[in-house]
Amino acid sequence: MSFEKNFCPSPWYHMRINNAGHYEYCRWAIKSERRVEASIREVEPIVWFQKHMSGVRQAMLNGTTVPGCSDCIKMEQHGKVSGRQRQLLKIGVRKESFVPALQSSSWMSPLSYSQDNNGDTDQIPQDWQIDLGNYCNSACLFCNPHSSSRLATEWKRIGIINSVPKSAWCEDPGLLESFLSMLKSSPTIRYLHFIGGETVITPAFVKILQALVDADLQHEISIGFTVNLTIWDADLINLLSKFKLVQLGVSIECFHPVNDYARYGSNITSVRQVLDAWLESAEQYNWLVQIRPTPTILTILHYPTIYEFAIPRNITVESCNFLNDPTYMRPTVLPMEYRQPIIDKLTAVAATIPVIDDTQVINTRNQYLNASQLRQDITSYVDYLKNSPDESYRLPELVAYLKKMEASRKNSVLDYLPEYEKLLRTAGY
Amino acid sequence: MKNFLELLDTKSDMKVSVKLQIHGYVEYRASINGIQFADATEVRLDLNSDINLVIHLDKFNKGSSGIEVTEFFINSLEVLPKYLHLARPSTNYIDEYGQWRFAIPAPFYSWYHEITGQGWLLKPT
Repeated sequence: MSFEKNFCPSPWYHMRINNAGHYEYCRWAIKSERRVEASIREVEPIVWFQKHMSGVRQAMLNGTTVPGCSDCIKMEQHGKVSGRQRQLLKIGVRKESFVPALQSSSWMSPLSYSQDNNGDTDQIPQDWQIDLGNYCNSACLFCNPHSSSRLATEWKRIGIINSVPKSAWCEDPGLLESFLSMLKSSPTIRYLHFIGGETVITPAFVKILQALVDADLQHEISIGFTVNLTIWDADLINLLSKFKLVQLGVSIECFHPVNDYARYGSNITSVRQVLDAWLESAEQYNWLVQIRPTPTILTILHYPTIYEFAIPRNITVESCNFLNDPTYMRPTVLPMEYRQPIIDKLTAVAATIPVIDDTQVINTRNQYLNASQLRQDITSYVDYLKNSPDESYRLPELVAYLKKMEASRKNSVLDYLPEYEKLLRTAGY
Repeated sequence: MKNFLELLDTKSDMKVSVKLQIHGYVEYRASINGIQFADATEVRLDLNSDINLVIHLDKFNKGSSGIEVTEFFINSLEVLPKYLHLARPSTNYIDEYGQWRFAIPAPFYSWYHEITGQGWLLKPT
């Protein structure tokens, strides 16, 4: 048990509503460990936050490990900035000055309140993650039916699943109105992060943004979301420009045709054009941009191209975590001899970035620290590829999945990754 | 440290260290939160104290002498010369009559968060 290593302040100011309308305590909590909690149909969000998240807060105060937090622990082990570190930073605390910074923080009083009240809090969420359902025009191979309607339809057609996920909570006008009225009566909300599906084509996204503008709340609220680089919409840009700040994530795995194979439904040539359009809008409105890849065994070989694009443009790169699910797509399914050339390439790319300050960059949205952030992100992947155990025993599972999907899509991984032919053949391809 | 209760039971403070380099003939008064010192000091202050480093130059030879604040650290975090633009006047080489001051409002860690560009600092509701 270690308070410094396990404590995260997130449950005092953050919560999430998932696609089904159920509440969750954290945007980073790993899926397999998420409990099925009450939904917006049963309990008001603020009541759930203040009373039903008490167990997580008590665990934090007791210094115990919360199972859903294992991704953050893994990220910190490899020197990758974790969600916990980000949430600590939002209350002014860094790991290296944990005790004095927390002791002098204005959050000591709310923490003490929870200590004395069985984990309850009198705070209200200031940082929301809002999952808007699976409505998406892409069918990325590493995605799942809960995040892509197109993939859900395909999986049902080829028999991987029996039924597609139910409609998202926000498609119910009554529930959406109830959620909006909670937002409108929460004057201290600072950040709303939206997740799809493809957020920008999900009707509830625009409805929520418009409602906040109509209520004149846009001046203090920052909006975060990620686009799949298939769509750019001038009306949406105009609406977003009214908010205090936009944190734009752009999803791309690599600047190589294998991106089309992994992010099925996209085309690398048009992705580049749409990316340029978003970057231009971001520059016009002074938005923060991050490349948000999900490195997998399929794209890690060409992953260095992402950094080669980002470095001269001073754009940060950040994956949410080291891929957990699907297990057979983790980059660590690659045997070590296949990892080494990637490690060498990433190391070479990192060496092109001058070291100005080797302090770990937690605030990855400070553009003056972008070079250091990029270097540290590359280094974390080098460490991960060097030191994570070989999971190549999962290759047959990967091959079985690829064969099933390729039969549906009439394509072949070998057209994109001839370098892996021998490896995949030995696993039954 | 095992839990929040132990954090509540732990008394922490800040170690503030300052080193001055005297160039030539100078008569001056230097203090940290009113505690006077000569050319170097190390004091411990409450975590929630304001911090005021003040130097008065009383006599010196204009153009050939002065005082340089070579080090100003708080809990091993560098304040000067790194953030000399926040001093008043904004220098760590003092060669003007009157008061030179570096003021840090409490709490130090919130101030440090702001000046190092660490982004949002959420306040309790």
